[in-house]
Amino acid sequence: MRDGSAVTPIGGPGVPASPEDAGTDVRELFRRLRALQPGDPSHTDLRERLVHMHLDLVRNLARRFRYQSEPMEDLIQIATLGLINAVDRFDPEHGAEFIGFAVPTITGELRRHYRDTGWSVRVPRRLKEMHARLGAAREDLTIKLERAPRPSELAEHLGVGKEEVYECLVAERGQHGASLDAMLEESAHTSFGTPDDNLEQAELRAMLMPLVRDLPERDRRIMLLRFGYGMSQSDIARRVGVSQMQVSRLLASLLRRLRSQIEDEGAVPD
Amino acid sequence: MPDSSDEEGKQSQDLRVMEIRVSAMPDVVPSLRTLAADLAMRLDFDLDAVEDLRMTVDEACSLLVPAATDGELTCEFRWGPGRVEVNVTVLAGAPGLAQEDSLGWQLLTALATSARRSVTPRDDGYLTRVELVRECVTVAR
Repeated sequence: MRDGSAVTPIGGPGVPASPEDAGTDVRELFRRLRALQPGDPSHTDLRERLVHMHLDLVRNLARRFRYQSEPMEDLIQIATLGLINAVDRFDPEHGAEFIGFAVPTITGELRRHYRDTGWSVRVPRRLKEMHARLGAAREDLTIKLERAPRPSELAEHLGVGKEEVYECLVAERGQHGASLDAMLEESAHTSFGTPDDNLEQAELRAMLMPLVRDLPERDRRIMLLRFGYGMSQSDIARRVGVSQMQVSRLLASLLRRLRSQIEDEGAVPD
Repeated sequence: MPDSSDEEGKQSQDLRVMEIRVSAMPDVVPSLRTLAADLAMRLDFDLDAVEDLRMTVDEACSLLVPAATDGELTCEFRWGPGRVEVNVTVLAGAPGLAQEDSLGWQLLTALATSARRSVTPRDDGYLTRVELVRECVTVAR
C-alpha cells in the first residue's frame, strides 16, 4: 500500500499533496533524507517536502480531535508539530510504512495537548479522564431522561461512586478560566477596584516635574527641603546658608512662578 | 406554592443550617455561589437545577454586595431533601433595593422556585434581605 492512499481510511478522501508527489516512493525519500546531513540545505528541502506531503493527514487527524471548544487552527498546529517529529524520527529501514508511524505520533501529540494544556487549572489525570466519561454520560442521560441528569444517575450510569462524580463536577469548573474582567462585565457590582488615592497627585507631579527641573540648582534644593523633606524655613535657612526671610521670599516667588507656568501649560492642551 | 402548613412545618424542621458572615466584597461572591452549588449537588439536584441555584446566589449577592453600608453580608443556607433555601442579608443605607422590575430581580424569580425580598427599617439603616428557595422536582423526596 502506498502512503498517499493510506490517508483514505482515516478521514475523508486522501488527496496527495501535489500531483508530482502522487507516485513518489516515500520510503525512498526517507532513505535520501537520512543519507543527508541535518543542516544541509537539501536536507532541509527534503524534510520540508515530506512534511508538506502529509499535511492532509494532519488536517484529518486534527478534525477527529475537535471535541470541544479548542480552535481548529491550534489543533492543526499541534498535529503538524507531531508530523514534523514523525518525519524526524521515522526509520525507513524498520519495515513499517511512514503513515503507520506518523498516525500514532500525531495523535499522541494531540492527546498530550488535551492532557497538558486543555485545562486552565491543573487537575489530576484521573479526573480528566473521568471528565471525558462524565461528559459522554451526561449527554446520553440527558437524551434518555429528557432532562439534566442527577449526580446519582451519572454515578450509576458510569458505575462509579457518587463522591467521584462530585469531585469531577467540581474539578470541571476549573477547565476554563474566567477572566477577572468577567466579574465586571457580567454582574451588577461594578466597583471592582478603586482609583488610587493619590492619582490626582501623580498628575500634578508629572506636570511639575519639567518646571522644577528647569529651576536653578539652589531653588530646586530649597523646594526639595521644604516640600520633599518637610523641613521648616529656618532649618532650610541654616542648611543653605541664607536667612529665614530669604527662604520665605524665595519660596513665595518660586511658587508664584510655578503657578503661572502651570496655568500657561494647562491652557495649551485644553 | 400550595404547600399545606403541615408540610411546611415538617420541612423547616428537617432542614440543615449553615450561616456565613463575609465581607461584602465582590470577590466573596464566587465562594458563596460555589458553596450553594455544592450543597445542591450533594442533595442530588439535577445538574440544570445546580446551575440555576449557582446563578441565583450569584445574582442575589451581586444585588446586595454594593448596598452593604457596614461592609458585611450574611448568607444563610438551609437545606433538606430536594430543597435549598438561601437567605442573603445586608444592612443597607437606603430602602429601595432589589426593585421588582430590575433585570437582576427578574433573573432571580426566573431561576429560583421562589424569591422574596424584605426590607426592615432599623436605627442604623435598612436590613435588606433576599430569600431564595430552589427545589429540584426530579429528586425523590
